[in-house]
Parts: sequence; C-alpha cells; structure tokens
Amino acid sequence: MAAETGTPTTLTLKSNDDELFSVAESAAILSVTIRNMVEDGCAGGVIPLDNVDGKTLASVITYMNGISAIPADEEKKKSYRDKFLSDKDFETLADMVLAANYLNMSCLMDAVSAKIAQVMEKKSVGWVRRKFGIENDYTPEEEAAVKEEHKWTFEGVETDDDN
Amino acid sequence: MATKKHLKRGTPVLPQEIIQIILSKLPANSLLRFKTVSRSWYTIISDPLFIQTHLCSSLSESNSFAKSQDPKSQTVKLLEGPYGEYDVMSFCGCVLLLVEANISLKKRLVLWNPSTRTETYVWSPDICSSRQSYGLCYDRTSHNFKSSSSSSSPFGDRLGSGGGGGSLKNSSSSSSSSSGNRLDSGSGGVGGDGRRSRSWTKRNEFPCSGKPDTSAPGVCVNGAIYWVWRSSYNKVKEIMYFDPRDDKLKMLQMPEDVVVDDVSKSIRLVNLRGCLGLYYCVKGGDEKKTITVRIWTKEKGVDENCWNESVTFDNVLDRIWWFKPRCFVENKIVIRFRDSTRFVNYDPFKNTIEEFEGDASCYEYEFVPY
Repeated sequence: MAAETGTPTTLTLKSNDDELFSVAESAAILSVTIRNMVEDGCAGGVIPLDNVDGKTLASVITYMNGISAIPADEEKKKSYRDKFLSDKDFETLADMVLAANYLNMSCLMDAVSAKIAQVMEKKSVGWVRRKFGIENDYTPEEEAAVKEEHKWTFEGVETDDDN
Repeated sequence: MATKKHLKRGTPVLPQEIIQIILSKLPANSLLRFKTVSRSWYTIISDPLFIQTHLCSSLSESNSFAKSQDPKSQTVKLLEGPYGEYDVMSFCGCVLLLVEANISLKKRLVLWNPSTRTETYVWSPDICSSRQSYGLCYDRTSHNFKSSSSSSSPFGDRLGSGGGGGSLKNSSSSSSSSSGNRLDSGSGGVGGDGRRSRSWTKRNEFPCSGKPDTSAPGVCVNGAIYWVWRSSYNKVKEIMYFDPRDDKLKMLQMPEDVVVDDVSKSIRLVNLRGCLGLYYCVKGGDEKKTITVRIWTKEKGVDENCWNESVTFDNVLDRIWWFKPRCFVENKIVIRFRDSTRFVNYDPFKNTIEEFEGDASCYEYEFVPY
C-alpha cells in the first residue's frame, strides 16, 4: 500500500535506552523480527527493541542502510560486510552478535560470528576467558591434563596484551 | 526491561547457542586449545553433533582449502606424521590416507588428520599387490569415511593378459579418531572408539577391463574418488570414479579433444579447490624434447560432465610430476620450465599466471592442505 503512494515508508525504532531511530522500511525488514511486526501490522507507531541499546542499534541501522543500497551482488555485499566489521572491537562485536540474533538477521549474524571467530583464532585461553567472562571451573590438575592432551595447539598463540 | 547482563568492562554475556555458532567457525587447532577454557566449552567442543556439523561445513566445497585468507601469511610447516614410513595415497578434506611403504603383503593403512594430529590404523583388506591404488572419500549419508582400493587382480597378471580383470573393493572404514576434518571426535576421549567401524566391509567388487594407473593415486573431489584407468584391450586411458552414494564404479567422459591412445602419455588428476582438474602432456618437437601441457577443469559436482579447457603451456620440463597443485597457497598449479629455475604459478580460477624464480628443492615435498 505504501509503495503505491510513491513515498518510501519510514519506521521508527526505539532502543532499550529510549533512543529513537528512523529507518526506511525496505532496509529495516532485513530483520525478520521487524518484518514480522510490519506484516502483523504492529509497526504503525514506534517499534520498541528491548534487547538492543542505542549505540548498537545505530550501528545495525548503518549496516541495514549500507547493505540494502547494494544491488544483488554477493561479492560487493561481502566486501561491504568485511569493511563494516573491520574496525569493530570485541565488545562491539559481542553486542552486535546479540542484536543480530535478536533481530533475526542471518547475514549479519553469519558475518559477525565469523568475525569473532577470526579475532579469537590465535588468542590464548586466558584472553578468551576474560573476553567471554568465563570462569575457569577446572581444578589445576584437570586443566593441566586437558592442556597436555593438545599441547601442540598452544604453539604460536598470541601473547596476551589484552587489547 | 533489559535482560542483558554485562561484565565489568561492558562485554555482554553471550548465550550458549551463540557461543556454539561462533565456535563452529573456528579451525580445529583453536577449538582443541579452547577445550581448556572451561568445562562447558569442553562439552560443546567434544559433542558428536557439533563435530559432525563442523566436519560437514569444513568439507563443503566452497570452504575447503579456502580457510586461509591471505596466502602470504601461510607458512609451510613440517609435521611429524605417524611413526613409520608411509606414502600419501589420497586425501579428503584434511584427512590423509597413508599406506605403509614396504613390501609386506598385509599393509597398514593410516587415516591421519594433521589438524588434530590423530591417526587411526587399519589393516589393508586383503593381500596387497604392488598395483594397488587407494582412494578416500567421505559419505555424507552414513557419515563415514570410505576408502576404496582398486587393484588389478593377481590372476589377471599371471595369465599375462595384460591387465586382466581389475576389481574395486570398497570398504567403509573409519573410526572416531579420524572422523574430523578440522576437528576430531576421538581425540577428546569423549565419544570413544568403536562408535564407528574401523573394519573393512566389502561392498562391491567390480570386474572391469582395466586397472588404475598406479603412478597416480586416487583423487577425492566432490565426494567421489577419481582414478586414471588404463583399459586393457585398446590401451586407452580413461577416467573411472567411485561414487560413494551408491557404491558404484563409473566412467567419466574425458574432455572431447583429449585423445589418449598412447599409454605412455601421462594424465594426472588433481583436486583444484573442489573441481576436478586434469592435465596431460603432448610431446613437442623431437629434437628439443620439450612438452606442451594442457589443463582442463571439470565443472563442480559428481554428476557434472562438462570440461573446460583452461590453459596450454609450451616448453615445459618433460616430467609431469613437476606439476604440483600447491594446495597450501590456494590450489595453484606449479609448473617448472625446462633448462631453468623458472617456475610458473598458474591459478586456474582467476586464470592468472605468475612467474617466479624458484629453488627446485622446495618442490620435492608433497604438499597437502592443513
């Protein structure tokens, strides 16, 4: 219906810290969660996104606009995604993977989780524990035994500078 | 309203299912290291279903070998393999099939996975003849590695019929300790041996009029094993392949203009990033003893029979085994020219040719993706 009027429909998204964002419907429906809301007719007013904060949502919207401006060319989309994620730190990536999961955006989910994997690949066990907030629940003996089993995988690991 | 928990420094706590998605994108080496992170990570990484998913995604054609983003950052590493002397017969994903290099009648075969450094031993299914060739492939339906051996029957040879009845025996042999391409199930001590068979099951035996060219091992591409086969009556070479989906041996049409009526002409098959590649040489002018090499690639997929000719090189050193697909740098074909230390890196996908001066000794090793 909106298409017939000739003006693109704009949606208003609200983050959990009450920031409001305007985004073209055509870009926003990359998120299956938002698309379902639009289809169910509950997108009339403001769409509250309770699990995404303003900073992350701004970033996701930048991505939505950027990727939907690219015509169907997988190569170009891929290089846009690579560039988009290249300067993000671990905390931002973790926020984005949660947002992509909540918003049900499979292309962003794939790209961000692959990026996180790429960041962690050469990192130490200690780095991973800190970044993921995981408590070491092994006894020292158990930990040594698991480590011993795959000793060679500890070669060439980046030293912890905790960036 | 916000359900998100935060750590001190602002990193959100990721739920288990997201962690699992992230982990499935890591190479085996990192995964094995991260078993040390915590008990719950150990459980995720050792889970048979997780391993299966990881294996399948790493075997998928687009993915295998393409793991390395930057060829320049790849380093060549010498790894210590299983104890003993072995020939690399075939590889599928990252699992290598090694055959004991000795003259005993019963040989040991090893499935070795360099990414997890685990190996599984199996005895050869029957008395080995020197004319035996093995191949390795992965059956996605039964989730087993299948190894096929093809040999000319000893009787055929003795009768002197020039090849006689070849037979192909297929066995499904695999064990947990080699079942991961990048990640391995057995090494964790979870799962355990005996979950999969490591015995040979004779599935089929095909009487056929030919035998595999023993100088060239079976090549695993798109899940099937391909051999160059030498037909016994008309001495024509052909390509036979074993299709693990129905356990049958089938013939593949050669590219149209490849006429291989002379058995002395060498044909080689390689796996080029998920495509079957074929190259063979044609003798050049007599006095110079140089050869011309032509390279074809087949479209992806076992049922696809379409060949594309990609390139022809002249004046190549007259030994076809100088050709090595260098899997570790994105499956380029390395070609060495006669009378020089000139090498060419040919990339059949981008159709680019890159020339370099090389040290011949560095091409004496077999390279396998790792």
